[in-house]
Amino acid sequence: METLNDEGQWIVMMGFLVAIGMFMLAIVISQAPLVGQTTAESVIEFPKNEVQDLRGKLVSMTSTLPDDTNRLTLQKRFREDIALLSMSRNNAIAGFGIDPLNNGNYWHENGTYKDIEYTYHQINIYYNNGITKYNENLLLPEKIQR
Amino acid sequence: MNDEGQLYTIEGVTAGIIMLVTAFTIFNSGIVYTPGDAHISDMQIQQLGYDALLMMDTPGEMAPLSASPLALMILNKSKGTPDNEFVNSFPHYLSLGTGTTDIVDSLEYNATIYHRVTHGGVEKVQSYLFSSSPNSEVSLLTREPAISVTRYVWLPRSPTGYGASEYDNEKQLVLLEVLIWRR
Amino acid sequence: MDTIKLIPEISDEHAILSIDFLAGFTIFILALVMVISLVPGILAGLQSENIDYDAVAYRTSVILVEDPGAPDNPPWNLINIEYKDDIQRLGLAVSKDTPNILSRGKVDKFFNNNPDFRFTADDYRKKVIFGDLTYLYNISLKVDGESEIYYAAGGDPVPEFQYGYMRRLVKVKEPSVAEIIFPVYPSPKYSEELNASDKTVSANFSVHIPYEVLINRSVNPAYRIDPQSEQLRIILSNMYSHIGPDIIEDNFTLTKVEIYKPVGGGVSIPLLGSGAFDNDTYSLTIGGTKYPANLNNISVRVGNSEVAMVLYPPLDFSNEITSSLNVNFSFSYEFSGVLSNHTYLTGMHQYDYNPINVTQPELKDAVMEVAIW
Repeated sequence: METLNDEGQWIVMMGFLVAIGMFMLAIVISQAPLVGQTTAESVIEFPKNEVQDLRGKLVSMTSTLPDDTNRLTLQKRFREDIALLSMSRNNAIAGFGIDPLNNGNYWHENGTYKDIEYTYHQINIYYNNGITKYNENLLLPEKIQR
Repeated sequence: MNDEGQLYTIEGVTAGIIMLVTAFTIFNSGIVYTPGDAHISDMQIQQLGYDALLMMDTPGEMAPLSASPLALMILNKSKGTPDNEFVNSFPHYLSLGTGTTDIVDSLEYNATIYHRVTHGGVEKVQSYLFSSSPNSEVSLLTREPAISVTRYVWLPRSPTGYGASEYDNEKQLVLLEVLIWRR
Repeated sequence: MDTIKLIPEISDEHAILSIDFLAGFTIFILALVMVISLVPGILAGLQSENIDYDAVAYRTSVILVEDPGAPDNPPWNLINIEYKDDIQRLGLAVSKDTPNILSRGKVDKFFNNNPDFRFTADDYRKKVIFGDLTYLYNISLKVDGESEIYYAAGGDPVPEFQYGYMRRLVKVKEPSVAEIIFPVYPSPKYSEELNASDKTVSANFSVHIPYEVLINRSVNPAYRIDPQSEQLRIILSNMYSHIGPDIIEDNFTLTKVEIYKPVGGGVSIPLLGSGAFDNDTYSLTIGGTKYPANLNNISVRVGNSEVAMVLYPPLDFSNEITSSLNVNFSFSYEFSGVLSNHTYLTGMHQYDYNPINVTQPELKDAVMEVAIW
């Protein structure tokens, strides 16, 4: 028997290819609800409010401590409270770091930097909840009383 | 008769039929599902709850580590007595609006305080129920999933009524955690 | 002779398309075009504009409430209308470190409360809302204690459904006021006694604005009095309690108001612009009526009215931290001579962080709603 005339079978091949391509496209798109993340979900997941809260509390320490007689106790209390509470409830490692220059007491008299008007105390804030990491070196100005 | 003349026509028609059938199968089958964004209202509630706590935790005067109104509410709730300040203030903030849109005031909440106790050299986290909205117990049965909002509050001392082993009586940070849901 | 002609075979490479081929191929192409036009229908569900509205509303609310805007130093609300295009982002927060605390000056400018500066809908779309599509918006702010609700110009009423929405709670920082109510300060503060024989006197009462005290970066920006970006107000009232009862009411007058910059050693430099009526630097009202600082060289009868002087930001020399300003109110008095008590106003009031001297910046609750569709 003669072989069938198979010219023109490329047209049917194209048809098949288009059909298979559509199936693959549908499969890929149907995965989106399972693995995608909507905008609202990523807003909820980002710890903007926790980081702002932490930062606000630490920045506001600077206006009170010069009057407080027991600065070291207060700093230690803050640091340990934040570390334990954020770990147990927010599942995050949060805290602030020690001034590397002056032996752990970052509220050193001379601060980290100094200019004519202010003494600057450097604290390093860190926050890590497993998904988002935040690090900041803050210079808190303390006005030099003259 | 020579039937070669139908060769390409049949091929073309067949290919066309294959593609159209596939297309209609896919688009009518519901494989591709695009759900709406159900988390939008969660995001709005979370931001609103956090804003409300921020409003209450901002002191009115200059020394920022002076006790904020929220800290005073926590201090005024002594052990065993129910809170009667937060329960008025927090829902009020949640229902504020400018009148541009209709606000459905159907949020319930449940607030807990977590604090660190160092008595006897052992550190642990204690908690107690601080405040809850009046209908929160009833709506626990039929509520939507709750959103959690937290805030650190600076306390100058502990609330009254607690012993030394239950609450550290010194300046400290406590964590206020509020669960908010729609009933 | 050969009568058989050799007919060359027609092979397939000779670009002759049979009708059969054309028909089949045409049907195939038509079907392909129809199918391809159905494909965007799959993707339509993912690209819905409705989902986008809430995200845009959230982003707009974050820019308004938590961002101080761009440019920030000096703040954008001090820019003149000719340079409006230099403003890149309209954020209302006082500073980057104080989210949710809005500056009154920025709020007034944003909602077109000042008569000589207007934002248009195009400005709002380019500087707050961003995005490629032309969104319709409705941005409103209601401050506690004020009856008027502020709306961003060019907004539309909110539709019944299908809009993105975000509600934020904020505090609006009102500027500080030095309310000098004289009965609060018992004599002899701010008063001086004249000889019983003298019947007329001209004397200054001044307010000292020390920049080195006010511009203090260790004060939280939410509570800071910042002469570079906020207005300072001085209100004198109830002056009669300090003036001897012998005063002839019609002859108790304000002759002029001047602003001086002390340069040490008791020397002061008068500042230009305080002689003429300058809309941008200050505003002086006596009993509710506006006057220029030189009072047109006519003394004005004060009586029991309030004298209010508002200094608009940025104050002169406020970028020099060691400078200060003195605002001098020159009064003239005439006593009738019947009684012997001839006291008049004098002294220097400090504009600082002492709540007895100055009503500190107040934080008022407010709520902002943003709707986008």
